[in-house]
Amino acid sequence: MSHKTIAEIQEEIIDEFSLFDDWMQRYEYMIELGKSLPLIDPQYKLDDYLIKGCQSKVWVFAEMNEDELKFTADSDAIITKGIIALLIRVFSGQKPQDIIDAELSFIDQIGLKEHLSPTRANGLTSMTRQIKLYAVAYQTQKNHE
Amino acid sequence: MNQIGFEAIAAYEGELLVYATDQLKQIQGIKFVGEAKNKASVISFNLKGIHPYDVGSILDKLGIAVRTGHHCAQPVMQHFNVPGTVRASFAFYNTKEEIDIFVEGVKTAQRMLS
Repeated sequence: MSHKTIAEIQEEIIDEFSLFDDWMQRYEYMIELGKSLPLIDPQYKLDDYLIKGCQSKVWVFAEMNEDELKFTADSDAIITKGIIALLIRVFSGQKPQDIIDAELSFIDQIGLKEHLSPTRANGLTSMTRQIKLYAVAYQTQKNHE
Repeated sequence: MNQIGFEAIAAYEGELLVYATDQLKQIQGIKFVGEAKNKASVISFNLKGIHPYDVGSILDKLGIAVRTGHHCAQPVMQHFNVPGTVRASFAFYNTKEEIDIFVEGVKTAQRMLS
């Protein structure tokens, strides 16, 4: 698992997206990223792990790996898979407290939100919120150990 | 609209519907949802293996307005076992040239999303 910080990974993503000239290249890249998404184990593809607020279906699962959170996900729509793949790249392998404290700057900087329809932008917010909620849950658990 | 006349409008929209349907039929993997003999100039469809919302996103970026989703008709979507459809509507102010652009857009979306 990567030991880069959340801020470093966001910088990497911003650099990568700055190479593209137009929306079509960005979308093609997102679609490619979607294909490399770390997939959720099918046994967790349940309504319990479904994120509300997306027009397409998105499942996100989190588990602790020593003191780091590992995320897997899936979606029935490929662009959505690309979006969640970016979020997972930023957050997977990080400590819960770091996830809770993280400021997501890359979304605005790569122009992701302005390229998304309002429902997809809402879905992005829901996905981020769900990832942070997982982090809060695991951090709370850790504090009580 | 009264000046143009409703019969003329209906006839023209019918012509657009036939034209668009014929053009779309050329696309491999397209599945029309709703193929009644008499219907309004509205086409609901899906592309094999591609989520309607993805198709709608690409068309949107190309400046083509369609609606995607279940269109407030969830029981029908369940019946056809689809998460939703892409739906294009044609009105009397649309042209065949615009339909050509739309069909090209659908092909672009299919290429990008496959």
